[in-house]
Amino acid sequence: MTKFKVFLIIMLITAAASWADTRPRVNISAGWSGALRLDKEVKQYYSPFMMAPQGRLEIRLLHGITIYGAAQYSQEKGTTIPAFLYETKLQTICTDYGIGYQFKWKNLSIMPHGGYSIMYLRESAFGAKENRTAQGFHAGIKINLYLGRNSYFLMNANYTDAKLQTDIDRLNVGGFRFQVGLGTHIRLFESPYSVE
Amino acid sequence: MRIIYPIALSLILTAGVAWGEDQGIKVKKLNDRIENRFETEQTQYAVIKSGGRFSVRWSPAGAGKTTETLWPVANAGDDVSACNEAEVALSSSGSYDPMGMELLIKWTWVSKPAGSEAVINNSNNKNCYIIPDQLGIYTVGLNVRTSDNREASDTVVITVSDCDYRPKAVIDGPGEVCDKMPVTFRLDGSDSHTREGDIVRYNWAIESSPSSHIEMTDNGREIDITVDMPGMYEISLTVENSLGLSSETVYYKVKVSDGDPPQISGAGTRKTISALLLKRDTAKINIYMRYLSDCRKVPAKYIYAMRALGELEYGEPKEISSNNINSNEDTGISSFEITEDCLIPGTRYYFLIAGVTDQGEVLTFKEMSI
Repeated sequence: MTKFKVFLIIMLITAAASWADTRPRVNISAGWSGALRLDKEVKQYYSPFMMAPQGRLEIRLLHGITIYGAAQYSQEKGTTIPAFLYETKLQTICTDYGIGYQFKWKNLSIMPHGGYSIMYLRESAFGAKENRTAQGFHAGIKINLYLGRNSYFLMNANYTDAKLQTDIDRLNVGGFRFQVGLGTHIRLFESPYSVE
Repeated sequence: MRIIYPIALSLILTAGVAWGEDQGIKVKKLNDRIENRFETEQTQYAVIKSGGRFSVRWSPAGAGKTTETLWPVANAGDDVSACNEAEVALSSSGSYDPMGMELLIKWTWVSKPAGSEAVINNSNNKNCYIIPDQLGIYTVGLNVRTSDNREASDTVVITVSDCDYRPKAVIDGPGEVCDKMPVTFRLDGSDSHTREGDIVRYNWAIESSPSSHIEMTDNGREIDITVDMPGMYEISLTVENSLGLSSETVYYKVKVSDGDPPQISGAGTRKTISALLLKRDTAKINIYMRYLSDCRKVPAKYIYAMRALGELEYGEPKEISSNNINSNEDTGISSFEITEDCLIPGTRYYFLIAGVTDQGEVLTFKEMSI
């Protein structure tokens, strides 16, 4: 993403928040993610269930409209086919970009969301390394349980359909993901005139 | 009384034919195998062979009478004595057919000395000749046959001796020497012989050799030759007898070898190993080494190198540990296995397997692709 695009996004956020005279929020959270793979062929090489740390950045715009970016990093060991001849290592950075709408109650918010996922894969085997990218859409629902004024506990579940094109066919390296974590708010443009 | 009839008829016929021929009577040969017909102006005679017997019929009275069979005579000539490698002429001119028919001649071998490759020249002619190539007794058979299948045989014995009074040089030796260099081999001329006197001098000489340092120890009848390079060595010998006659020079070739390296062959299999993103092939190649002769030159070690199709040079050679080489004493075949991982799928690879000396000299090699 170029600096110009970043600048443009910030300006748009600022303009939108000013226009709404509301308080945009940046929500930052971190936690743990578990991924359940569904593709049979992928499960031949790597474990069907994988856990990884995850981080999430959300920007709530006007009202409950929220854009977000999330990332998780995983590192796991697998095997080759024929099995157990060689050990393989797969490093994955899964980035999610999307938009959702928060339904908010006093200590609870629920946000259905959806967007686009880009997975950066790096596999090491036989003394060689291979980098590939898989892309696809995702959709899910996130629940925030507020622990205080600025902190919350999040639970997120989504399904990612990220296709990896191989020489033979297309593999779904996504699947169901369940994420838990703790987050906090950073309130922007706080002013005596702001209306909650 | 019945016996008298054929005899009488034969005599009458013979006399009649003779008389008829004298009188200019036509004698007509009707066919070669069965029948001969003789005609006079008044009478026609026919000699018919039937079941090995001959009958005579004549016209106008056609009553048949039996007569005696007359066999041809084969004569191969008197037994002869001849010199080795000299032409011996044989003749069958003493052969004939009492009935006057033409003879078919065939000369054949009855016996000849072992090792002789002499042939009968013009074996279907009246006169033939042979050129004996071994001392000893040759027996040649002569077979004569008429067109009506009457035949006779004879033999002639040819005793062949050496007529050359010059001494003969003979070299006995190993023929082939296999050992580490330098190597010494001995040639023996003691089988050289002469018909008159004694052999008093042996003249040995090296006729041809690889560029090599040669040491000769001449002991007269025997000579010891030490060479330091493999190759073909040709040595000559001329002997001289006490009468002052010299033999023809004989030559003897000795193949000197420091051994033959094993012949390498191999067969391999290739298998693809796949990860999620990466794919590689693994190759297993079984290499077999077989010595083709008992004269063995054993490589100090085996190495192999690999290159992909399109690459011009082989990679760094790898040494095969002697612990990984299996030897089968029964079959004389040694083998080892090469395993190479991380081959790129779809790319052909070439393997060069070589047996080398400690100094790095390649004794044997094999290139194979998989």
